[in-house]
Amino acid sequence: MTSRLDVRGVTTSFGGVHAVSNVSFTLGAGEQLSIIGPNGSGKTTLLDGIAGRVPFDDGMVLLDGVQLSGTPEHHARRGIARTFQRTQIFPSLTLADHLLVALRARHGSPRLWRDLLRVTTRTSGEREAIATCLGHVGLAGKEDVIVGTLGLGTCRMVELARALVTAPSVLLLDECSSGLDGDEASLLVDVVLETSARTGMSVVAIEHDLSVVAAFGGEVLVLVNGVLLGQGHLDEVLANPEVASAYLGARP
Amino acid sequence: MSQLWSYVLPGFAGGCPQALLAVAIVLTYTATGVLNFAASGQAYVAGLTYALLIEGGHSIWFAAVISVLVLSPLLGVVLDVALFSRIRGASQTAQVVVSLVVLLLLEQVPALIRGDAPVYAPPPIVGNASDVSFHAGSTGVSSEQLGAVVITVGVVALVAFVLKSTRLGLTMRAAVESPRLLELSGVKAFPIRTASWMLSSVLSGLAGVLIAPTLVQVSTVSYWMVFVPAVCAAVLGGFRSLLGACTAGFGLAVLVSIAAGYLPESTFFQAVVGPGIPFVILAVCVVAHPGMANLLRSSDPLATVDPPRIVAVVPPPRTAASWGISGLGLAVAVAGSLVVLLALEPADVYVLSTGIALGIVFLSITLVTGVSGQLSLAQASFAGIGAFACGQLSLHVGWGFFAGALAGSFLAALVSAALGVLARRLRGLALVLLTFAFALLCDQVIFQWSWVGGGFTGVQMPIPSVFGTSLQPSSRAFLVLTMAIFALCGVTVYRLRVGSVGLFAASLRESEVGSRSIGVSPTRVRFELFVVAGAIAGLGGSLLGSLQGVVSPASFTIETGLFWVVAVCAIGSVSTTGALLAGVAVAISQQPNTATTALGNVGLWIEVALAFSALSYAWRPEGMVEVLRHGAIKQIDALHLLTSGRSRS
Repeated sequence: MTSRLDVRGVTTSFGGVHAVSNVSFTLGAGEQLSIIGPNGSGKTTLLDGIAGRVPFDDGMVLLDGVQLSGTPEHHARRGIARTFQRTQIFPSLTLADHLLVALRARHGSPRLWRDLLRVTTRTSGEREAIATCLGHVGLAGKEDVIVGTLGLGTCRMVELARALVTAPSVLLLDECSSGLDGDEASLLVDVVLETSARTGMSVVAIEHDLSVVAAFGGEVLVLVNGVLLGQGHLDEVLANPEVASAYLGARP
Repeated sequence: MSQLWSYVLPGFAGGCPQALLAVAIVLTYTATGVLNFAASGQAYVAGLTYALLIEGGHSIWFAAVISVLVLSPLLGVVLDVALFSRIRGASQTAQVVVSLVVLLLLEQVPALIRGDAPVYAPPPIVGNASDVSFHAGSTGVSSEQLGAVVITVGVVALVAFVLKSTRLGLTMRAAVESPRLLELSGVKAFPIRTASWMLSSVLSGLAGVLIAPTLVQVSTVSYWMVFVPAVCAAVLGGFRSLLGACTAGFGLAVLVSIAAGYLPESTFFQAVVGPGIPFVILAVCVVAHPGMANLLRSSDPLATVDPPRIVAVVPPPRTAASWGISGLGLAVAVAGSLVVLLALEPADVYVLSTGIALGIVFLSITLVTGVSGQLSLAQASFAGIGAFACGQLSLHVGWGFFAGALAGSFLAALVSAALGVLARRLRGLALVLLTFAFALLCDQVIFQWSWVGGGFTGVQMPIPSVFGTSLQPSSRAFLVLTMAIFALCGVTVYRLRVGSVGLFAASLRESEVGSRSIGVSPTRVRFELFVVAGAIAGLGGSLLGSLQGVVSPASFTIETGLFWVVAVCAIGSVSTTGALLAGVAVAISQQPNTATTALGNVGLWIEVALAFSALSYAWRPEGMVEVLRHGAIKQIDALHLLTSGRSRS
């Protein structure tokens, strides 16, 4: 059976430094994978590569058996959605407009002539999709709020909603709980897991907070200096002396 | 071989000012992140001061010391302390707009103070143009040329020594790499920045003083002609290497001299191709240099600690007050139109028609800058392309105004599409540079071809004719026509702004990384907006040309284009109202019969006031109109809250 996401021997380097070195993993539909590792270990570079933001020097990424290539926008339209460690929101747009951009971009660039002939207002389908998605992330009824006026925790939920509204096949989360308190982080995890269970969306999450990793469940992948050091369930991985030494600083 | 020397040596000597300016541009960019278009203005002010002091009877050395070592560093300090240090962290677009404003002010303020009396070329600092110091083959090298080369090489060597081998230089290099790390080490980065501005200003000033003796008259245009290859040299130096920029400055001058020398004499190539070489090289460098697409990326490891802030134009919520203000605006526009149509004198009707035609051209700036978030310095060139195409088609093919204007608009769209394809990888500063090179190519070369710009006499423009009646430029019928075309273009811009394309452009403006991650293609969205903007500029240019009767290359110069961008940024780059009001303000300022008061020419004062207003672009990119509108809505809402609270109590 074809995996949802198949990462095969990907490698990338910057000026002679191997940021990611021959990393492989597979992920089925509806499964979760957490990536842990110290700062500078290549976690975000790996995610950027899967999202098309950084080209891999070697190896390939397959989505539902089809090789991904090209720019981030091509990857996004194929069903890869993501969030960022530093939130990448559009401060002057409303929550509804955030989601509207994502919905329309999922199906390609807008037709210029359509805008010229008549102002493209939100369709009833778009309005419904936006309201439903905002409801899922706990932001129901806030369609017209300007995102620049919101706090970090809410902005992370907006970014998540923007990713989820496109009904992606794979969701990439880059330190999604960073800067959130316990309640906010667990709400975010609940939303992701509930969506994953409902739609079969696969999740790859970079995390430093091991309680969040535990909440996600699924396999854990340990990356150190761009090299895959271990893979398995959280307890197994943490029991690995090499992982403990490299990641937790404990003596083997 | 001796013929080659006869091209190489003058080229090398002539390359001194541009090598110095290139080093100054790189120094400012690396130390502060500002692409300083004002360097040309700083050079002009120093050159002008040098010439005026000598004209006033002062010695050459006194004039040189005051211009280069007193005035120039002082100017650098003022620019940094009063302006550029206050917009640290603003977007690169905002910083370019501010440097354009400084350039315009440096060019306009001297004219405001001393009028437009000509200033003739002063003698050089060292040597004389007619004294031959030595011969290389059969080519004599004058003492003036030799002096310029010695001074330039000596000064650049001194700057290199200071940067490489002194404590100040070490700190300056550290400030370039990471001002934040430097401050964490206990060294204040602020004085280092100021020192960089002073040093680059001295280099610009010296370039200005070296240029002045080579001219017939000290004029701003001559300084532009040196600034372009200097920017080109800075691009070749990757905006990082001082030595690379200096070498490229000399190399380009030699290359242009050799190319001009070897092109067949009195032919199309020598007359037409030769002058365009620097602009083409600049365009090629910007498009082909691998570093240009990444010009926005910082090498500072702590850059993400305080990345350039996004100045979000947050619209006020749609309350009763905002609808009321919009309704009031519409009512005032309708009432104003009626008054204008019934009561204005023909001369005033003409000014208003010109203002609205300019407003149409400015709508193209609204699309590129206000909607797309990019900065194009070539919108006046697209207006020129439209106007010249309309005029030439009328002259040679006998087409009427409307057919010619449509063809001109189509041609302008086609050219902007070609430029858009070249610029598909570029954004921010790199796009500014490409459009700058294109605008200069049009201004200095393409529009000068008689079969394009009509030569010295210009091109006679057709007058619109409706149902067999010709519309005279000062007639009310022409005014109605300009209003109708503005309404058409305004609706186009409005629909694009509030529709899907505008939504995508807004997302790209605020986070390109975030937009691309959800599938927005920056290349396509910006390309489409750029092409539509070109078409609108071309249409507006035809209308403007028809109002003027005759268009010549002087109608669409690079300086005109820069002033237009500044005017739109001052009044409002995000709305059609801003474009219209900016058009009317510029039209009033540029009327030849504008009143002259005890304070000088009113038109010049309006231009200076617009330039000063545009300085606020770094903080409020939405412009004056939107700031006032948002302020009014807030006040009305506050008043409404207050009164409703009282009535309840």
